Amino acid sequence: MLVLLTQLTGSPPATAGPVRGCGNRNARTIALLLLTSCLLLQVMAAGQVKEIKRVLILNDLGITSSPGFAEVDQAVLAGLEKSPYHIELYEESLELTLFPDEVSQRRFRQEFVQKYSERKPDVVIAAGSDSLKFIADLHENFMRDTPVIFCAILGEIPGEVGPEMHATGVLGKIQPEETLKVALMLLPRTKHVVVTGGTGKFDYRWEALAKESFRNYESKLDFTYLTDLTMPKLQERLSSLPSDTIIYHTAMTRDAAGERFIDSTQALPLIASAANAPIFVIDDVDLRKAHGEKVVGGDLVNWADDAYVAAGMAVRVLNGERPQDIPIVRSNNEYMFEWRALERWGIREANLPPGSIVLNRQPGFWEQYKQYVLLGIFILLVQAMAILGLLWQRARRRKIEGDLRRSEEKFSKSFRHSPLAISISSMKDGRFVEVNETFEELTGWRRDEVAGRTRFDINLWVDPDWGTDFLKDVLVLGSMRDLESKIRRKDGQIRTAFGSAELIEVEGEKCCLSVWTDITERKQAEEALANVSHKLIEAQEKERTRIARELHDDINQRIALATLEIEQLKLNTPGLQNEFRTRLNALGVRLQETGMEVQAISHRLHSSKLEILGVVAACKSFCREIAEQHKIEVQFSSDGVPRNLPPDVSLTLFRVLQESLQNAIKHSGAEHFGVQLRRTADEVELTVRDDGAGFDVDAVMSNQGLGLISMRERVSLVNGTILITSKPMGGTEVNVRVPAVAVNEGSKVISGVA
Amino acid sequence: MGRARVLLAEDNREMRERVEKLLGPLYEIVDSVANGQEAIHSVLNLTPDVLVTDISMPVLNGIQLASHVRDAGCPARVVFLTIHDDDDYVESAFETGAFGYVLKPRLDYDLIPAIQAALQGEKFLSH
Repeated sequence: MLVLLTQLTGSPPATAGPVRGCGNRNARTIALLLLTSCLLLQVMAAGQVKEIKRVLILNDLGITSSPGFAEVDQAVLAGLEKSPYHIELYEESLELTLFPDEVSQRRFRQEFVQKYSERKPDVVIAAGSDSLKFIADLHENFMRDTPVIFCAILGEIPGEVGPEMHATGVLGKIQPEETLKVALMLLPRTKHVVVTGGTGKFDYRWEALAKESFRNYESKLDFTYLTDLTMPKLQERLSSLPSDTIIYHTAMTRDAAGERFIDSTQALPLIASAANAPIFVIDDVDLRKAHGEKVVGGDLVNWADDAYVAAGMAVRVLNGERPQDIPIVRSNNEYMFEWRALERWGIREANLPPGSIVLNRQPGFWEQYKQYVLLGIFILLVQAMAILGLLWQRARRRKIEGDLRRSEEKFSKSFRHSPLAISISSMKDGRFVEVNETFEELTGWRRDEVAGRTRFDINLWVDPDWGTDFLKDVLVLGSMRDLESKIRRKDGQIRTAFGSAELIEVEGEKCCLSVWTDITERKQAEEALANVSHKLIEAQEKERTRIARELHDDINQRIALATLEIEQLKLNTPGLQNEFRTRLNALGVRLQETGMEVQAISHRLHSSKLEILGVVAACKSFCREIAEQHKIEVQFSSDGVPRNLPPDVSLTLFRVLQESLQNAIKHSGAEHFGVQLRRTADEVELTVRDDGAGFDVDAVMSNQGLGLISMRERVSLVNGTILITSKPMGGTEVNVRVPAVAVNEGSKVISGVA
Repeated sequence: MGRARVLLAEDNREMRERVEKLLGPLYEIVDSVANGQEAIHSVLNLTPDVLVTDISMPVLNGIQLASHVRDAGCPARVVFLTIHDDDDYVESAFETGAFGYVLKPRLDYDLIPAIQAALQGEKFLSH
């Protein structure tokens, strides 16, 4: 806790402005004492027992007559707060501006000694050169052992301060020449320097410092010292200064008329108001308190900072350090400028020395409205992003809509103009939902005619049961492929359709998507082709049969008869010479051989055995003959096959046997073959197998191997099936199954050799 | 006891005439027909002792004819006269219960012995 004790003598007046006398001093003192007592009582009541240390601050000027010293006091107070002690703070002021006369000063001295003889301070803080001198004068007799900390000293330590004093502190660094350098740098056209000041004791000291400091510039610049004028006269002079002039203000606590001023708050504003040139000052208090746009600043002393450092030294001393052990330091001046003045005098801030402090800088538009601008930009960005987002969304939506529309158009076009007949019907009630143009062409029903009707309503299926099963299968299986159905057109014409169906969902409803193509013409063509093929086979067989019959019935009979004639000739010609008999015998043999050859040709063209002896005998015979012919082994077996199978079935089986066995012998390289002919429940099955090289069935079939195709055609003619199983190096098996009951019952007999 | 009665079934007219000429002096040719179907009719109506038949004939071949004759219980004994010099035919022919199998080129030499053998219940096969 810090207690300020202001004593009777030397306390500055409470009123601001020029002070001409010392009034109401007792009242103030009583009030302060009461306040102090209260504070002490509070401390005691709080029970905080701390060692009491007395600190006395002695100022050159009172806190009311000098804002600068007021700041010094404040800084000291702030600095002493770091002390662990209970500080009793006493504040005294020489009031040099108010009571500069010797009588007043002597009286103050007497009162001071009297007052503090009984209550010597533990530390004295002397703020100001005169205060330090004052303490130095008293030191020998009164405060021999009292440590002294000084601050706010102009220039050097006064000569009165001897080494026997236990003193340390902060020396003020008054550097008018530094300010002048900066001023010349900022205002390079400067030719005249006007130094302003007052006639007070305090003022003379400052003026002397400036004059000393400017000595090196006197040859370069025109210096004018306006320090002994009345304020009005000074103002008048300052209002009409030539251009290229700067003003350096020292201090003015009294003018030539004896009028007193508080320098920073009274004299300087009056000077500034009148001056038509930029004003440079000594300390920061002048700059800050001037409140004007004419006081520029300079290399400024900061007394408060010095005081704060000094207070720190006082605390160290109170803590037991000796003042002489604490080195004296110099204050840290700072380049400090008033922004408004820079603006007023056209000084660019960029030209200021590095590290300069600029006071009252009016924030630029950017600085002033940065937050708003940033907020605005942010909002704009957010809005822009939102708009962009919306635009993007809209564009995306439009694109999607466009894509969807195009897709729908494509689908619609595809659907409408598809070469396939497409229909969509509900699975719930079978009603048509949509049909396309090809459907209309296929069925002859227009779209509007089938809408809401079922396939059964328009009698579409030739076989309604098939249609019912079809829809059931689609529902169960989900899809149907390779369907063939006969449909009835609106005009009653029957067409064959081939297609597939898929179970789909349209707006949550299960529907059947059917795709059909009209294969009527194809079917007709296929049937015609099959018919042609059938007829070709028939014709071939017929022709072979005819030739075989001619050979057998005619040629062979003739040969037989000729043979008989020869025999007759031999029998009925008595005395036939041996030579003739021999020749006749030979002729007979040749005729018989010819007959056998013809018989063989006839047999190859058409096996009479097939019809006469049946398919088993014919096949067996063929196997034997071919085995003998090719020197191979053909194992034939049969089981339960009737002799009188329908001729076309027998012929088919026989021809397949011939073809497959001949192919096998020709291509397989095998030597062992097996032929099995057997009757199953309702089929006759022929199996021809070999253990040969085998072949790629698909390749051979795709190459339209005539033998295989011929077999297939023949088998299909009797509604049989043929299965060829073969793989390279895996042998081959040809399996033919034909219905045992004649499927072409009543059909004409293909072969009929008599 | 009169001459044996012979029915001839042969689709080749020239051959048929030759056979008739050969057999006529020895047997009673009860009928000469040109196909199996006619032969059945004649066999059933005329009940010959011997049926001389070709194998390859239109409508109904000789094997079928012989089977029908057998199945009908007709006592006529069958002698095949054919140009099929083939064991399969021979086998099938005798399976029908036939008594003779004569090759046409051996007609002059073998047919009458074959008929005679048949009349005596013996089998005959041309060589």
